[in-house]
Amino acid sequence: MITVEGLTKRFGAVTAVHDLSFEVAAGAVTGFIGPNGAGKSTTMRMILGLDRPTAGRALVNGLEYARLSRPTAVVGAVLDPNAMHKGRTARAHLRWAARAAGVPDSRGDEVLEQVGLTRATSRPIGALSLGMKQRLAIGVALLGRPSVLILDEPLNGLDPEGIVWMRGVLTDLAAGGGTVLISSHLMNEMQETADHVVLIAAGRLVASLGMAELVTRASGVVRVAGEDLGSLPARLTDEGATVSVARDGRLDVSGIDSRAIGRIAFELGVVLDELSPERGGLEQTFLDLTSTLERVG
Amino acid sequence: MTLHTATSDTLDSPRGPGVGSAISSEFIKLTSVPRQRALLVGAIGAAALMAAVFYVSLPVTQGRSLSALSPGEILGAGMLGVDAAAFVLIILAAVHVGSEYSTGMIQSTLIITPARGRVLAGKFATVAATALVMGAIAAAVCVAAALVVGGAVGINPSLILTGAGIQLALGSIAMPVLYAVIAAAAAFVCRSTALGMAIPLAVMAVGGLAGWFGDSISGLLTPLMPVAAIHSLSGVATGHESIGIAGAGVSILAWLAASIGAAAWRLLRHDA
Repeated sequence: MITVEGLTKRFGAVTAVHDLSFEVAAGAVTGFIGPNGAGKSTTMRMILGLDRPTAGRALVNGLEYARLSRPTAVVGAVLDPNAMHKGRTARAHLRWAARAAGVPDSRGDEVLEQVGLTRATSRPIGALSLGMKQRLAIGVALLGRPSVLILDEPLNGLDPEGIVWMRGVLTDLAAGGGTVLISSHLMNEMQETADHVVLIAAGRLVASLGMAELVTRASGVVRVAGEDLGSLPARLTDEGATVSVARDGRLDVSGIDSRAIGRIAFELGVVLDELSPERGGLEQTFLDLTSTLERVG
Repeated sequence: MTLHTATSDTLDSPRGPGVGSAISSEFIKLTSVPRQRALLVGAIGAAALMAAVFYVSLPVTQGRSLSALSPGEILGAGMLGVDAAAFVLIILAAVHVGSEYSTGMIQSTLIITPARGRVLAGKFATVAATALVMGAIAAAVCVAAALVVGGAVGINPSLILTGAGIQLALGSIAMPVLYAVIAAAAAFVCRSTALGMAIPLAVMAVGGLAGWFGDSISGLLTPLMPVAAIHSLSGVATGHESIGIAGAGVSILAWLAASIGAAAWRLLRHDA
């Protein structure tokens, strides 16, 4: 578990993170979401002891990161997959990291296999693609078999295969009881990956909630129209949606997204003339949630 | 793909990797980059080349043939090769530390080893030990060159390997060690490879050029500079450089402490 308590970071006159508090629970993938410059990376750097908080503290399994005696056995982290020496080979990169982490060199070979880089071990890092560097960086993070994973924008620049692979890594760790915190500025990207989201803007907490709840909020009002809607309103209500009937017979439905409405209508054999979300889904909800704080910030 | 989680994800094991792991890790970092390996070889090559250049050019620059030089002068000319090795080792030390910042790898280093004092110890131990070993090899190469050249002009090796000759060879090894440590410290403080190279060269230049600013300034400055300590240790100090063996030891320790202290201040007291 990761606990962030009243975390504040000032750089001169600029407050990058302001009195931020949240928890990242074990057994789930938590998305750490905010616009560019919201303070996500700074917060992660403070969790990992790279930057010192101006106030507050961040704990990993109840301890400050710098006080962990075997940090790599607890936390695996990647902040920048490009932060490697381009002249070193992938195997040599893992070797120095393994030595520093106090794990046997053989663990480096295991990890290379685990991240699918066995055929690139002797290539210089400068010759690896971004996706391969991302895999190598994840490999370093996994060297100590950590139970906590902290990744900054891990899906950036990955091809579809790499994204699927990365999601597998994250969900496997969470399914095994691990704690996963990943940052992103793309809400839709997180919808497919995270179970829980921590939203920040201008260094402040906007919301900490389950992805399902966020999706429900984001669904907004969907306009539904058709010549004969039959039992659709009742079925939607049964599914947990709020349905109101306008004077022209059109339905205003909230609490369920348009895809689900379309699926239910299809199951009922109801022909729809209109199925239109009034708002722009998750990204719009994200903008709505963060815009006020961004203006203040 | 199966991921294994730690057997205990809430308890932190009491024993973690120590300074030995940090040193071993830093040594792998230093030797696993081809350009840095080339610099290691280059340090010895530069020593041999510089010694050869001095022997070839000595008759021109001194206006005397090699056979007219004393055994001490023969050895002294060859030992200047260690200076060339020191220049290359300054570059290596600055690159070794500076590349942590230029590549962003310092993040990974400090995430894996959040005990920053351990990182610092690993870096400096590796730089100093490498410079010591390479400096010793360079000195041996230069002594061998002096013996070969001396033999060619009919000088008995025992006349070169006197007590003073051995002191010169051993004392010269302090130069690459001290300047490499200063280079590593400068790269830490400035987070820059270029300044990591420039600062020790500037320190070297101040020591060499202090005499240009008059006797009173030279008398004040020269004894404090590393060159005075190295020359005193080597037994070749002249004028204001002469501070004795004990003084040289104190001066070298002071320079090492100041350099490592500045690096520690930067690494331990500031954000990564």
